[in-house]
Amino acid sequence: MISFVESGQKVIGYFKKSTVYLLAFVLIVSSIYEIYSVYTADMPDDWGFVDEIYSAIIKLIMAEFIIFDPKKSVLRAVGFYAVAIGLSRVITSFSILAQTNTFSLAIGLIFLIMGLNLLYSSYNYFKDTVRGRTGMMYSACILAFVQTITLLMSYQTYKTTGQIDFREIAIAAVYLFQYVVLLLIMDTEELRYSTLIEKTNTRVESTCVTHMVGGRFQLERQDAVVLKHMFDDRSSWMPVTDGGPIELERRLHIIDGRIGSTMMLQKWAGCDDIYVTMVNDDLGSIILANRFKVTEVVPDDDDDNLFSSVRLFDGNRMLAQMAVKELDEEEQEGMSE
Amino acid sequence: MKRNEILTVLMGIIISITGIYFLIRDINGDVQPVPGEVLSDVMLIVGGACVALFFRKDLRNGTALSMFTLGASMVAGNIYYALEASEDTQTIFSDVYLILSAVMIYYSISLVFHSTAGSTKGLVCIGVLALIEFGPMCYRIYLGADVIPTIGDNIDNLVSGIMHLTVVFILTRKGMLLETPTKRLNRNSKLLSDNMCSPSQAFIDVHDIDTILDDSQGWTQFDKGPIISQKTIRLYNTDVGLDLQRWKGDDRTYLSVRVLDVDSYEVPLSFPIESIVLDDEDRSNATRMRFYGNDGVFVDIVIKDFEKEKKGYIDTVKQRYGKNRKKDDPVM
Repeated sequence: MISFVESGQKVIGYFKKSTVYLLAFVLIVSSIYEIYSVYTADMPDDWGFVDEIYSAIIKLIMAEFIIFDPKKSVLRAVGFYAVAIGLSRVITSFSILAQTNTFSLAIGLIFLIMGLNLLYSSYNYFKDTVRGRTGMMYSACILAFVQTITLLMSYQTYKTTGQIDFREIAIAAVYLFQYVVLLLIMDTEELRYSTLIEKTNTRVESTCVTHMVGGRFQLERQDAVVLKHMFDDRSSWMPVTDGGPIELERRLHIIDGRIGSTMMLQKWAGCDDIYVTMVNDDLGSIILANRFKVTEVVPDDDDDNLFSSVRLFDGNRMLAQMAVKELDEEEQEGMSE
Repeated sequence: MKRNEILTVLMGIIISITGIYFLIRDINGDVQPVPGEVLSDVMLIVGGACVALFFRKDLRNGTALSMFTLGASMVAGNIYYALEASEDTQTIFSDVYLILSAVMIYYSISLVFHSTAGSTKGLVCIGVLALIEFGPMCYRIYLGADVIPTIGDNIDNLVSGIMHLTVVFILTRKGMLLETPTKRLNRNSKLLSDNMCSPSQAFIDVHDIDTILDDSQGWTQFDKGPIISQKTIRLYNTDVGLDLQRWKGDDRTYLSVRVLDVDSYEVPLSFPIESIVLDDEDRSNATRMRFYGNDGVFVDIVIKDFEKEKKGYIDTVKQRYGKNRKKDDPVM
């Protein structure tokens, strides 16, 4: 039986996998709509619908780029999406600027700046950095709201007059879908933590978790028990048989907020002390780390269920004191069993 | 002269030349210059010359002096019009110029005293000045006016606008832009992380295993210092790399970790290698390589085939047409 949280996570997982294709789909739908509107229009505008046709072609090309991208990622997909929308806006601005009057100049320049700004954002996305996420979310939110009102007004008109404009509803629905998808994508974890400031924050947090014990840090009790018994009970440790000097190894995952690190406890051949390597990600390459030797562990209570902190020593030097998380009743029962 | 120094000198020269142009025009022109205009020209000449001659090696103060010169010269040249009790366009523009110049002077002084971090706000002011100078002229041309006569009528604005745009262009070149707090924070956190944390996505190319394990290849000899020879192994997906070193009077090979492609660096980890093990005896199947030292020190590196790594469109095209990775490419 899958729990509610697990099924929720499963849905989120499916959404994450399909995000990239969803963006491509939005571009395809939008370009199909543009081609449709050109062929169903009563009369061509001064620009001869060149901007709509170009915009549709660009969107289709970018959708293809997203679908067949060998290095697929949400960030790159949003980058291609931004290129499509940005280029479309630049082309539209040329079509507006072509009508030489003051109003067209103002609107055309706004479109041109918006388009160029989006193209600059796309460059950042390709460089794995999210730019203008909040602004994009605000504008998508407002535009989605406007389209929702359009749909509601169409419904009201239908209720009062019995007439319905399917074309208007279709346009509003397509745009609403586009903005909602964009909103959801802009709030994915991959994008949320890829802004310049979040990347900086992740680096600093990762360095802190690996090299320092924060004042509010608490060790999980089962990990604390492993630490407490590192010299007398190594039944849960794994033997290392790579031909190197390590005999036994135990990894503890330390989580402090969003960022975690791994404490690698190692028993080396010919040495009774335990070598500890604190590393930010034990599954990747381990090069620079916080390395120290532990010669003694002192808990504040001998009972595994009651001790609230452990102190680590290297000879005459105290290395750190780590607080241990309190157990709730359910966990206490589990521990005593 | 370094690139930054050349750009600073160029900026100073352009400011001075603009000053000389306006001075000649004021002296020889048909219209009597208004009070402050000649002073404004002299300020440009002297300020630009000072930037080029004395501040080419001092980016921060050079930037500050350039901004101050432009701002002060603008104030001197426009104060007369601004104080005139008239509602014509010149007076309105002069008011705007004065406000922008005051902001520029404020930021230039702040730069000198380190009370502001970056030069962005000052540059925005110069950019707006250029926009005001070019805007009306471009607008007339857009509405159908003849290009050459319009430019002829606005030649002063054109010269001034070009100078302002050139200053913005120079001060936004790589190495010339004073960093904003966010960018400084980003750079410092990266430095901190590069020297204290493992770049977990880093890997060595499977073809580099032979270079590491084969003692006879890849060594660069040194004549000076305690290191006799060294070979550098590039780690992909990171700026960090490994140096394998042989020291005088020691048979062991040392492993050093450092940031590559920079002039100055610290070595955060260096130890004599006692043994190197692979997680698979068959080198082509190995996925991890461990370097063991003494006293609990080890380095564990992921091995991947660079050729098989996912690449973007541009890298794929480069690879297909023979412009694929150079040995020194830091990132895919």
